[in-house]
Amino acid sequence: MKRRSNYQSRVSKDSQFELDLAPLLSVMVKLVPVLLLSSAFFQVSIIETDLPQAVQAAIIENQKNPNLPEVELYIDYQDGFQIQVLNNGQAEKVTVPLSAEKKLDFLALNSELSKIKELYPQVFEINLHPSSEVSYQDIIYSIDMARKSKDLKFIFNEPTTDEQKETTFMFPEVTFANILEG
Amino acid sequence: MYKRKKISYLPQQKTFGLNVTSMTDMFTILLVFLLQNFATSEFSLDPDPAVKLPSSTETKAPEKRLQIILNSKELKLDNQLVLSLDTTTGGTSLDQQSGLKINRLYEALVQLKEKNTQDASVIKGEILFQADRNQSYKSIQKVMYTASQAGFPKVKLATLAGN
Repeated sequence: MKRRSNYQSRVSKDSQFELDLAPLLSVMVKLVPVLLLSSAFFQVSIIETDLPQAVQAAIIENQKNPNLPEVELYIDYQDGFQIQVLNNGQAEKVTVPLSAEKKLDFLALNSELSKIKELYPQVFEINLHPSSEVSYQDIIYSIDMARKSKDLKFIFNEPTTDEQKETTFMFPEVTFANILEG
Repeated sequence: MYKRKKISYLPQQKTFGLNVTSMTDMFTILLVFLLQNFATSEFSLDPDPAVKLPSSTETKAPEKRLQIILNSKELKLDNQLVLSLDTTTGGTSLDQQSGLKINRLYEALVQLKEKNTQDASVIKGEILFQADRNQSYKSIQKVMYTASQAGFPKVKLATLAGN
């Protein structure tokens, strides 16, 4: 008890002191320019097809199967988006018209592609056919909309284990199909 | 007379303790913010100053690859000018037969492929493509066509992360 009271009295005596912040400040002054130089204020990313293993395995399996339906996406500033599904020699066509502001309707494209993905969950490839005047930004937005669904998940069979898996990926394998067309 | 009186009122003490607590607070906040933005990836891609990259929801960090840069004025291969895209030289560099192949870019790519026989990404035919968001598909198509003809069919598209 005695010890405690002594300690308390000592603490109360020394409780007020001024902290010397100068060394801390000088460290910070040196650190801030270093971090400012190495900071990335915008993040650059790349679009490629590094996908979950199950999806990747399904894509590899699909390449061996030429009878799978083919999904083609045509992008045009006059007609909007046109989706064409070629299945067993028959073509189904879906048009996503321009919005009221006469612009490409990306959200409608995403929902139309979600419907197609629900019908063909094993298909992961999409062939892009942008017309020559379409801007690079609009092509990238279209790829974004085709790659992943905004709100739905799809069930597909993983070929190696034959288990059912869930994914938000729709058509992550994007090919520019009209590169060779002059 | 009035001025002299005023000077005499100045404090006599010349040294004073600077209160650095608020400055330390400010620096701490700044430090936390900068640490959050600190680039931790192995390779940080510096976009060409004349290129406004398109934005995308994709957040995958870029890897070091051979780079093709296309802005409104120039076409570069690994930061070296391949072609100036003005009207006088842009048209003559195109292959007459296909109308798509950019001869100078094709030659530069083939040379690079022959030189870099040890680079795995070059062997696989991977290339990182930086293009301005306002470029039309017509010009992008020519670059992609040329790259694929020169043995670089795997084109990675550089974008700005976030919508």
